[in-house]
Amino acid sequence: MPSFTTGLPNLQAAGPIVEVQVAVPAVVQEVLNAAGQPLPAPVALTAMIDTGASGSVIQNGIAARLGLHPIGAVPINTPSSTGVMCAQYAIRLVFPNNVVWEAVVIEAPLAGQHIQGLIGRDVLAQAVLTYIGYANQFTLSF
Amino acid sequence: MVEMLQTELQTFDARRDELLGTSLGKWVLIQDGELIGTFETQRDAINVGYRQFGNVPFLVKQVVPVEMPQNYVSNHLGI
Repeated sequence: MPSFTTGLPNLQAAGPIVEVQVAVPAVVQEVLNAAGQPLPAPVALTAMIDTGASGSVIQNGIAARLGLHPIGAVPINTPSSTGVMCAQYAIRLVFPNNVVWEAVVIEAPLAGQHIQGLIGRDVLAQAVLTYIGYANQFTLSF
Repeated sequence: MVEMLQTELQTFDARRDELLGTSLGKWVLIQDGELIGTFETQRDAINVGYRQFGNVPFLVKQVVPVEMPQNYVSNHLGI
């Protein structure tokens, strides 16, 4: 079972954050290769595993850096807004230990925080999250 | 960037009742105002969209009577 474990100095303070690479999905890689076009470099970011998020999120602007266009739109609710339409993008997430996951995420502002992405319950739906608070570590297995 | 899909979203809304009768629960692929097809999974529709049109905007959306919003209970999002 592919998995990774992350340890942090203070898991309670920082939250379950993980360094991930965001890349174009396999089908876009296939299309670009067939057209002889270069592949955009993956974007490194810090993401938080968020059981309060029904879907995963990337910071505004990351899709453009990957040359990706929207492939969907969904309404979202937050504590301060309801029914805000957000664009969706197909991406590939590369977690530590080269754990690869293809996802459809929304793009939204996360400015002013120590994270640039959220790993939501769309990913967790196919995974096991083990959060060991007293050891300041967590494991995500697929 | 959702503005890039206004034409596709208008097409989806205009054909929603028809699609509810013929394709309930399936995923539609719409590009430049044209309904391209219906698919069993979101991934199938996305793959066909990219392979048929390349890396351009298109809309993949599930045909459901009432669309459920995604929910974010923390204050991470600046929305």
